[in-house]
Amino acid sequence: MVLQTREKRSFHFFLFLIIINLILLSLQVPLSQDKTLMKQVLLGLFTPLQAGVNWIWKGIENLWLDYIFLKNVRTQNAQLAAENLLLRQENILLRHVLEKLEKEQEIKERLEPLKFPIVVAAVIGVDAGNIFQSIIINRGAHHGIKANMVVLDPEGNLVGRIIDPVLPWSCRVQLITDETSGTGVITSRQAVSGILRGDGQGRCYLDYVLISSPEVFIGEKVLTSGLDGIYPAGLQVGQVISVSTEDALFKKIEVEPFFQLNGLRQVAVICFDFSRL
Amino acid sequence: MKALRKSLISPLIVASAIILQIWWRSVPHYYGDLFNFFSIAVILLALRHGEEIGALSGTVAGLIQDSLTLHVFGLAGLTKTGLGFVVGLAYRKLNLTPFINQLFFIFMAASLEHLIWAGLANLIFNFNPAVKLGAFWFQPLTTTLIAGFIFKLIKS
Repeated sequence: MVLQTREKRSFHFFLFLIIINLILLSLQVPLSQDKTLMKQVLLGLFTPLQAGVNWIWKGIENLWLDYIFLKNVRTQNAQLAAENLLLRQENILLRHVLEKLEKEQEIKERLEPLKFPIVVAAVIGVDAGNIFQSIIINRGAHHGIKANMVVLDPEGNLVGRIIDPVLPWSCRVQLITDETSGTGVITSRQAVSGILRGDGQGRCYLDYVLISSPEVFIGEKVLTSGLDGIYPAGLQVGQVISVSTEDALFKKIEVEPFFQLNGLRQVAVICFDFSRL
Repeated sequence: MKALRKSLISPLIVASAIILQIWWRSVPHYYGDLFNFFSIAVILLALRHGEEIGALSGTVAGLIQDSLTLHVFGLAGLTKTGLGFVVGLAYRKLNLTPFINQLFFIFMAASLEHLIWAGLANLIFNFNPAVKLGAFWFQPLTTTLIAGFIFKLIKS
């Protein structure tokens, strides 16, 4: 009898927990919202912990590398790398803008707003569900970061964009390999434009390219078009690895992103709202 | 002293799981799905304390996992609640004393939880786990081996 009561109680408790989870799920289904209060609170609680674990781990690593293994060399190297990263980002963006624009007056006008700061951030976590969806970085609103800011890898290749919620000391980056991302892009040779969408498995597809549109070649570079109002034109995104015409209306174009998620430790956030350009 | 040591085991499991999961996911790498320390902790707590604590720890661990992902909040909470409840109940009801039986049962439960999670994500919420990376399919096996051996260690 006692056993039955206990079992009943356990089962009721289990049902209660299941119902809570189902309520949480159902709250998101109609609007696909990603900003529930509880999620924000848990994210707010655990990202500092992530940063803390990362900090301790880095501390141990630095202790070994800086004082035991290679005294001082790594510090100098890190400084040069950070400086190099900033200069490279600036150089790539300015070069792309210069290539794109023809008139001198236009160049002057366009360059004016491009004097934006770049924030270098460390990757402190990856998406717990699928590593190709998002990453968490250790810079946030306190460092001037806002939603929709552009994120590049150390080579200047597009990684993704900042998404809400932006916490004071950390934020999340939606990767271009996420299935729900959409990036306006063009191909480098014949400027075929389309929307780049991730497949959640590390690759991307160039959508809405009609069969009748100019030819797209394997190995061709894919660059941002600037038409989506989020990313500036001319950023390097990836290269075409396959093109097929199975569909009656659209081409199926597979793109391999240039940025390498495996081992990505640092990214650069461009603190500028490109929709203003 | 022995009682104190025993009572410290469960908090230690929880703390270790959180730290290890965060550490494991702190840098992107293609073996990201190989370990899920939250699942291991849920199984261990369910085996030690029964289905109620198992289900509760499953909810908490699942929601923490969900908060660190881009998409659906509550999905891992749901599946891990089931995992904790089933493991805790089965351990009390079934004859899982032989080690091999324990391993087999944990493997079945972990695989089921993993597949339900992936299935719901894919079919209902249109979000694909990174199944093309082989590590995804090995997660139930690593969960089984780690949880099974840690539980054996705790019991001994």
